[in-house]
Amino acid sequence: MFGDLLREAWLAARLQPPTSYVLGLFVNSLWLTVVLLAIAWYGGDLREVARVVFWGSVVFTIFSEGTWSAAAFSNYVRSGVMDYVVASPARLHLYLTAASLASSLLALPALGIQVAVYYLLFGESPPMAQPAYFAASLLIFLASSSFITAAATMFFARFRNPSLAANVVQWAIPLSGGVIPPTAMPPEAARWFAYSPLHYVVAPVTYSATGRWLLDPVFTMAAGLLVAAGLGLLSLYAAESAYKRFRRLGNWGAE
Amino acid sequence: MRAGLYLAARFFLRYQALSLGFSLLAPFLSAVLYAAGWAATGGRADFEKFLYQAVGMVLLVLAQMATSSILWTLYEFMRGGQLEYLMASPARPLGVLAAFFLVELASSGLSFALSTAVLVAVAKGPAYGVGVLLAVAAAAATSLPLVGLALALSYVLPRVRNPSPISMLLNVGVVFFGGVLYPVSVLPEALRLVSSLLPFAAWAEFARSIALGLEAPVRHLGPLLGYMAYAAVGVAIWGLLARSLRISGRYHVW
Repeated sequence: MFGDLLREAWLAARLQPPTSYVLGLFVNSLWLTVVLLAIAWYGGDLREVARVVFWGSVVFTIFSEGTWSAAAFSNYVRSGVMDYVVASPARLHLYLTAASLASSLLALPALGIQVAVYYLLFGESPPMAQPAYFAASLLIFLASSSFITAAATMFFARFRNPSLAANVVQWAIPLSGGVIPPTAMPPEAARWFAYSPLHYVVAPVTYSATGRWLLDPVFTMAAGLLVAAGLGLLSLYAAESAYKRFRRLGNWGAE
Repeated sequence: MRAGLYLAARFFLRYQALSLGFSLLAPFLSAVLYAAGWAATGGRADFEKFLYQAVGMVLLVLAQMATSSILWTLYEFMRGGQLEYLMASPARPLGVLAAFFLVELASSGLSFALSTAVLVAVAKGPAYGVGVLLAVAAAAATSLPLVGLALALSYVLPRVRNPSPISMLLNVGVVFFGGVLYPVSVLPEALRLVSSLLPFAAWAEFARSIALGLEAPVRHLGPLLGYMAYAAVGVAIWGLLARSLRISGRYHVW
């Protein structure tokens, strides 16, 4: 798995020209500023809005990177690369998870740029109330994000143009997981997030950074681990069933 | 031009269902911003600002069609080798690019306009729904400065061999400086100055006045006419690019 991860990270890094990658980081930071301004325009204090939505935007950036990399797999399907992947000794679900994780890791430098923009705008670092919880939450989120996008890869592979489906996944998963922190919402709206399994893997990143939790932190983290494990099983099932379908029909769907 | 229109119609009609789906993104994304604003203000977000951003999302899409989309179409012509044929054909590449832009406006642009018009009509009344459609028509009719900017930037396309960096900058430039999601007045003085040098904000303001104010302020027409200089410069630079391509024979981008 680790070898797969290094190889996919290297491949993903090589596919992006350095200037384009650096420019992408710069443009991402401008988009973050746009989102902050657009939300703060509703009347909130810009600094307070940034404190509330900053880590949510980081979560969104990482997940979005993974989603679009998963959507780009339909190119691999159409060009026949996936046929070679399944003919190789690599296990499909490990390969897909490694590829998803690698693309998420490539989004991490954007985090540095976003922190720098935050510092330039407000003269302070983004909130980091509970670093230990934050590190654990980020790991749970990265693992869950990789499992979700690995499973989504095989779903996207059925479409010739998966951009609309990728947009739906890109927005539906983070929003239902509390990328806009439920703790900032009125309680009657916030309580509904407790029923969403994705809440336990997405929102803790913001909760631990701001120090404000919707439910008990230990319970939330434990539930997050269970949900992440469930998502791992889901990605395994998605890869295995796609593989069996390919063996039966001889195509992935997008050819 | 007729050949270009036929080619563009065949191309875009294949994606009509997809573009109808995408058109729901404009109200959806503005609803996401509204939800975040609602959370940030403790449930006191102004609904008029939501409509401002919903119309702004449509204008953002139109601006992308007038700028990035033209560059991507040109890139596809270069990559596929069609540009050399278009240069030699009576259709001329600029006419074909214009045809692609017009057909994209008529297909995808209309889808986005309709979804937002329905939203605004429900929120403010049917007259405002019609206002959104008229605003989109006005935005399309006054988008020449944006097209000119894209044509001017096309000069670097054979050198950078990838429109992605240019389109990334254009897209974020429209949204950052164009006042589509917030008024330019929220920006600091220096950034307002940069915004005034670009054609986006005046263009968006004129269209939004029609959509949400049901008026077409004459005072906006002066600045818009001034920004037409972008169109003239763009066409001139396009002429230089076409000439350099003919001389060098390097029509292809790999």
